Amino acid sequence: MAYSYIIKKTSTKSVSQLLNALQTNFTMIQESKQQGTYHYFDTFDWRLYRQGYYLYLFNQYLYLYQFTKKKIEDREESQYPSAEKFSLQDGIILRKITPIIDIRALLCMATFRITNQSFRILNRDDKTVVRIQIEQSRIKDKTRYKNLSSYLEIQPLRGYANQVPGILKKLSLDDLLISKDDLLKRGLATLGKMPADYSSKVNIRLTNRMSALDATKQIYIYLLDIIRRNENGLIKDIDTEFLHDFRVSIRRTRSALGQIKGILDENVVLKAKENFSYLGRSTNKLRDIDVYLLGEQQYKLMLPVELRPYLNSFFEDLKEQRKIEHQSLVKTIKSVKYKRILSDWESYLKSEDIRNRQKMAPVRELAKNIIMKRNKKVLKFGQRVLITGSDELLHQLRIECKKLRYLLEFFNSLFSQEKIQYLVRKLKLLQDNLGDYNDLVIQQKRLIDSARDITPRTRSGKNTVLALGILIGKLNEKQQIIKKEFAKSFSGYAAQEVQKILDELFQVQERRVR
Amino acid sequence: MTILSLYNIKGGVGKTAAAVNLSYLAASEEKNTLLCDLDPQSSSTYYFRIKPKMKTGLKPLVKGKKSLVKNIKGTDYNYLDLLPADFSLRNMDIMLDNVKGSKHRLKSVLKMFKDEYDYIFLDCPPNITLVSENIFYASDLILVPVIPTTLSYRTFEKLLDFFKKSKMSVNKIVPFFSMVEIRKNMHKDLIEELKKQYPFFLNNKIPYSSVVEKMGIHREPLGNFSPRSIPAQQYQALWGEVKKRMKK
Repeated sequence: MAYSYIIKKTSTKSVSQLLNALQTNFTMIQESKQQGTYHYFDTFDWRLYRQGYYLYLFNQYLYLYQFTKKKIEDREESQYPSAEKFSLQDGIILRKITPIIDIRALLCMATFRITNQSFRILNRDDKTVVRIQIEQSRIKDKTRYKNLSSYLEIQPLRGYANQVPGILKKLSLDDLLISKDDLLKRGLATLGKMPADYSSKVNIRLTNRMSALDATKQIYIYLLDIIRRNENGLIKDIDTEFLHDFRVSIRRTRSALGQIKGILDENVVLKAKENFSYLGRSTNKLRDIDVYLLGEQQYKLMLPVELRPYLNSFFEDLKEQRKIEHQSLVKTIKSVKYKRILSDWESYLKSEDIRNRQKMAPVRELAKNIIMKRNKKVLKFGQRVLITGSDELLHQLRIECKKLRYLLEFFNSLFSQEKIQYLVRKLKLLQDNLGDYNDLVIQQKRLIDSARDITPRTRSGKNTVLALGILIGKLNEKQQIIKKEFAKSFSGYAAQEVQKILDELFQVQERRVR
Repeated sequence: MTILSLYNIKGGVGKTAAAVNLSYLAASEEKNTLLCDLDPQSSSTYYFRIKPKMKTGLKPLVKGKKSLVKNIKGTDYNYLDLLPADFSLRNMDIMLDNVKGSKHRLKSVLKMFKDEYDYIFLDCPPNITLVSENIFYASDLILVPVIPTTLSYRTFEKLLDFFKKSKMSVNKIVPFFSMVEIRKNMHKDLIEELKKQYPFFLNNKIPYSSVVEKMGIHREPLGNFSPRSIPAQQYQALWGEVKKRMKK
């Protein structure tokens, strides 16, 4: 076990004075002194950290470190990335992290300048009994560097823990503060941050005591924050998930505006609905193209090998279109209109509202009411789809499910986590089926439009149309299969045991109030 | 986890030097390594500047992991720990006699380290006793340093005989030449003869050298104070060969 301390900011003693105190009392020799810069990389939503990994670059080497096991998993030579996102060369590390980071890009999350000194304390036999490490570091804060408190680690060798009290006696404990945090955590704390402070999952903390008004506002404030935090990555086009999360937060906001009624000022809601609908629309085309491009490999695999190259021109065109759509979205985000929409919305959310009984009612009741209402609709539409098999109704059911899902996410902190998670899992299975179906319908429609736009004068043009034709056929086949699975996935959600839990959680006449 | 023991019926054959240097090499490859000094002469313990245990008795090895773990000491080198020799180990035979399944006792105790260590080296006392039988059962490989002299040759054959009589697999036995003085014709001839007779001798030989003897003055493994010396390089090559043998 290591004994870790930070040297208090209030300490009057410098690091060299502490070292002196040790040197005069023990046989101590310096083992090494290292200086260098550490760069920590992760995805915007901290996927590596969440899996227990640090990926850092130090002195031209990239390390994959498993912090839960305190073990360096791999190390390979690497250069500091020249662009904002870090595109790793093919190697063991890339292969190991790809399943974790998936389509997200790696960004530099923190940069440190460090001086690390290590010492050994020897006993009478000149045997090392304790290792001492002193770390002085600074973390980059935009363009400047900020000092961290110096860090001291006393590591007795196995079987020599009894030497530590003697050492601590010579260091004044008043100057030291026990610290369990590693460099990254200590560094980010210096900047008022912490790792994993962003997630695409909704994490709104509401309490049962909150009023409907306060809780509703908190939901919107949370969503607004997510929208804003994704702007930069979206503008810089770091990866496609920035747009995805940006859009989803807009959609969630719109969904809440439509479902939580009578709580916010009516005029404000009306205006907000219009504004967020505008924002949502301005992202549609770019997301559609992203979905195609992300599926490029899958599409090609559906075709006979000799036709695959003829899809290239189709995807090249898409990439060109994407540039234009991205530019246009960037322009929107940088516009005065956009900024005003968000700032007006924010200042309303943070202002005082007129309070009445409905607004001041407990949020729990509000949540139960609207969740039950939405669930009824889901069941109603589902039954009708089962009877009619109508595509139109299927589409509506998908939207109802989405609305219900958002509600469960907004209010999940008010109810039993276990039960909510169970419901979300069941609902998700149904949503996946509906989502896949919808994607296939839209993709076919777009591909048909694209095929029509091509004038097949050349042989390659003809082949492209042929390739698109086959693709449409394959997608249609899939669509039929998925439709057949609908009954099963719907009955999985409508099942008695699922509905019973919904009733238990959200039935308004509840006997026991927790 | 692989358990490697350094063993010879005869003393003074370079057994401890091999245990210290090979375990050091294993640890320098960032493999968690434990060297158990089972020899009451406690030379391995001395080489690592650790004090042998005087009081705790041999109970740890017999009693089980908890008391064993308490006695393990970190050496000056990363990844290398040592279980110091215990003077009372000479009584171990008597102790083991009173334990059920006594031939397999050591094996079952060491098994408990399988998640903690990649390698366990056992520096063994000479003679064939109940302790050595425990060692034979516990080891994956038994490394036997053999000085190319007639006496050494005879003790090596005794070891093989013992294995055959006890119906243990001789495949575990990995002999190598130790303290070789290549200028001596007798050494040269005996090496050739022995290799013909026992082709499973390792190819790399550890030369007789004053550098190895200086380990006692430096109290460090060769790789640390004289990494470029010929014996240090020979140990390195020998370690490579041992690893290959492990895979077989």
